Amino acid sequence: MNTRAWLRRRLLRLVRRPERAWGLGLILVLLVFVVIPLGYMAVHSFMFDSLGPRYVRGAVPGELTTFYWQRVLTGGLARSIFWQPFLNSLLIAILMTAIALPTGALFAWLVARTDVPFKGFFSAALIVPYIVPSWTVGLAWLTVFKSPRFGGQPGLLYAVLGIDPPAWLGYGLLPIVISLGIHYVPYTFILLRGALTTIDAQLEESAEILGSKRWEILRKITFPLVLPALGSAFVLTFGKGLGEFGTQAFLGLPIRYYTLSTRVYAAFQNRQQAEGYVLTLILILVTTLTVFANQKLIGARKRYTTISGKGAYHRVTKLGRWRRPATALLGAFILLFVAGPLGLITLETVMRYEGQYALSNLTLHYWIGAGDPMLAEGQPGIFRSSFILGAIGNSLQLAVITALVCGVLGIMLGYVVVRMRGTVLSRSIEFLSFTPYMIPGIAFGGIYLSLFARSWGPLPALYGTLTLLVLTCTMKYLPFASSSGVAAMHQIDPSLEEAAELHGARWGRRFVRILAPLAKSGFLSAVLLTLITTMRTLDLIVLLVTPQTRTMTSILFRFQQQSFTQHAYGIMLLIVIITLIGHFAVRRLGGKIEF
Amino acid sequence: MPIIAIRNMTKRFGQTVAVRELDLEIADGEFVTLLGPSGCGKTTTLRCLSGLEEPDTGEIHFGDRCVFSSARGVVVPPGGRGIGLVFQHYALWPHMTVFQNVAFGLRKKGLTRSEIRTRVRSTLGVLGLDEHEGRYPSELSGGQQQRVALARMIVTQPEILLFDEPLSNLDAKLRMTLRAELKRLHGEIGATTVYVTHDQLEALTLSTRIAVMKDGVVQQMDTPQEVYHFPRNLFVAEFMGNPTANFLPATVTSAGPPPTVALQWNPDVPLVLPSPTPLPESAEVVINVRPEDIGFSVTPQSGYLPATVYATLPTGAECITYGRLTPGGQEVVLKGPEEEHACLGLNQPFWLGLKRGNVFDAREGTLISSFGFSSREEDS
Ligand SMILES: Nc1ncnc2c1ncn2[C@@H]1O[C@H](COP(=O)(O)OP(=O)(O)O)[C@@H](O)[C@H]1O
Ligand SMILES: [Mg+2]
Repeated sequence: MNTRAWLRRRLLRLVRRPERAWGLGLILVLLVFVVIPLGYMAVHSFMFDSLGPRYVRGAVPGELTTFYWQRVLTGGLARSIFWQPFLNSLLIAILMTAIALPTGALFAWLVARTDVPFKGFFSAALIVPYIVPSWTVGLAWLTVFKSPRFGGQPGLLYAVLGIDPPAWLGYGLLPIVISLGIHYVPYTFILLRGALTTIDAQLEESAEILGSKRWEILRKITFPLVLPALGSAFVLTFGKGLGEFGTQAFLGLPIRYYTLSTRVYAAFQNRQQAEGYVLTLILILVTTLTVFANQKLIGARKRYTTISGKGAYHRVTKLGRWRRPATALLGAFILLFVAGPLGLITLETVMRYEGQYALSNLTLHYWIGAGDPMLAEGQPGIFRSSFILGAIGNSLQLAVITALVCGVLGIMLGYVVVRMRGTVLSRSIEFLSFTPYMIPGIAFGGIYLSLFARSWGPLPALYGTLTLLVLTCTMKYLPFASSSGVAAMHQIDPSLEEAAELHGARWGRRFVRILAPLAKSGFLSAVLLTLITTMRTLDLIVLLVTPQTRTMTSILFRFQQQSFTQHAYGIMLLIVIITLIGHFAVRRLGGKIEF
Repeated sequence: MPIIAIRNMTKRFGQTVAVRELDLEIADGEFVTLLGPSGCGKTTTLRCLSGLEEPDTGEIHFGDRCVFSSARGVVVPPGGRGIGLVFQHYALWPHMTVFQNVAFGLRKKGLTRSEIRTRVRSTLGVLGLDEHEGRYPSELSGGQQQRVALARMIVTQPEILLFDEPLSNLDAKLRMTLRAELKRLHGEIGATTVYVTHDQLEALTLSTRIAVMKDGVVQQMDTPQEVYHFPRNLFVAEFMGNPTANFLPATVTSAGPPPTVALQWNPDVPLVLPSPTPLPESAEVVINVRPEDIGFSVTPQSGYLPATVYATLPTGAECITYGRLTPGGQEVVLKGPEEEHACLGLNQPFWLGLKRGNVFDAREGTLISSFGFSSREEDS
């Protein structure tokens, strides 16, 4: 009797307040798709994989061993497998951060605080490198500096000026650092511009009243106050730079310049799973360390929010004779690194033969032509090729489904985390849903490839299905969606929902009538952001696609390797257009930019 | 010579005129409050004084020093004006400890380390913050943050102190305590103070003089008593006093003295105003009486207005009673000791007597005469 009453109460409670049940469901999902994969990988990095017997006589797949860790860290090949790529990755991350941070900071200050003209235009244009795929500038770089010595056709420099650019100019460290540096300028720009405009103006005015000069205020007040924002920018740039794959593949692989991420790719590509696990774990470890180091450096005690007080009108700094140079600098950056690359990529798609810069060489063949056996091995134009159209269809399908699933999960997650704030469940969900953020895309794809390709427990074998891609993208992009969800739910005071409850509204009705309308714009912008992120992702899916599940980015990667440049760049252009449209839709909705 | 003189100062933000042709003189050691509803230009005036904002036209003098003049192109930067300012949200630097916040302004005065330490410590001591010097602002309560802001201001010993609604973020109790502390502080260091608030009680309790502002224009600048009892126009009369005073439209039926008026709502009762000055015959006026200046009787009396009790709101020591004039039904509010009002029940008839008040010109809204005040008060 008593148990029945207890059960009844429990059940009623579940119906009335579903967050606990949801929370448990979400934890289960996160365990299966985040914790177990990480654990699986850690364990299997100490086991012989299926290729084990080829390397070690008598090895049995599944047998415990430290062979792979030794091979990667100390073995005879360790230098070329790990240490050199690792140093390359570090060097790239350090140098690109050294470009992106100061540039972004300077631009942010100019736009937020000075009287430089055309602020609206500059702000919009400076964000473009962040919207388009990170390898956009890298590909455009190739059109100028590539050399026939490393396969394919000559670039602009060779074709027009007859200069064969040296390898270090066209490939490897220098161009990788520059293109990634440019891609990450918007991160610092956006974060710092936000910080500079939301600092309470009175904090600076207080110092002014006490007689501080402008430079002293900038150094002693403004700089320390934006330091947390600068720290986030550093972590984002450095951490993400370490794991970048596309640029490093496009600009590094032709001259066999390897980085940690391209090594991970190579290992999984060659079915050397265990070695891939070891490299992946190291990559994750280094990324995680960056985040923690930053938190240590900035310190918990001094962490503060600089809420803007009323009347936080910042007075503009008059640039005087520096106004023209500053404007020119911004203009030049946008011309060279934003408009320029997109223009070059567009131009490339309408040239019958690469490297022949003449009007007679222009054609729309690669867009709408039927196949010509003399051009790109008979591959028809983009809008005529069922192979490419299929990839576009797959990409759109993947992006839309991922975005919707992510959006719904994000809102549920936000609801549970906010309503159960303070409980262990809430904290674990928030922490676990953030974890995929620390795992570079190429590593994430690698893990999912080895875990979910074959049937596993009750889960069927997913290799070659779109489901696998959706699953991978959903889990990887869950951090964006969940932080949007948490933010959206924070905005909604519990009393709004409780008021509806007092009117007898059940949970479903409350969700549809109260929560959903209030969280709508947050939900939509999370969905759109996930959509454009999925559209442009290469590293995450490059290991997982099969001919049936090919996507725009994956065939772009293939075309680029086959030197079907016009097709590759045409697809690139389509991705750019789609992501830009998506981005402006987000802006329309008043959505926040997430990294 | 006044220590602060503002002459014909105007400040625009685009289309809005925040301060319009302002003239203001403040004597050495005064505590002047700029009082007015939100958006009337108080903060802007203060910021112009501090130099954080540059007026469009006008002049500002501190003593015999001109710190701003649009005509002569003089603009002394904020740091050179010898002022201290406390902001509404305190504006404490979150990345510095209490000590560092307070010491900041001393560092450029060419003092040695130990001199700085002594002065910061003694200032913190005065404000009861000795134990908190190592803390960050986020680790302090609102009242403590407020004191740090005060310490940061007075440690450099400025001649002029400026405050922008410094107490508006605190709860009622703390506000009371800090009000007392501010008044003591002003008494002790004697620095000329300009204080911005929208809280009339704060203005009345703290100031030597109050400047009531509306739409960027000073409506009246006088001592608190003067502003409270003899508001120069209807705006000031309405703004001062809580609950809001009574305003009874009337027509002068006999010039006097003493003048007689007929209320618009209740013309049958001729009302004789106890005033030695005559009023223009048949002028349209507004009689303004404070709630505490209305007496009542539960039996009819000559010259008293018949009314019924609408609601009584006891607050402990005193009681606020709302009545409705009969006939007419205009609302009248009166205030008195609670035990006196205890006999009033719902809808009970009672009779109201106007003890003292002011008469305003109905069209212009300006004060034309007062009644019922002892002559000494009226002269002042
Ligand atoms: N920096 C500014 N930019 C534009 N308008 C302003 C600015 N500062 C004040 N104003 C406007 O000027 C008027 C007076 O403002 P303020 O002096 O802050 O009023 P108060 O302090 O009395 O509330 C208001 O209408 C306000 O909107
Ligand atoms: Mg104000």
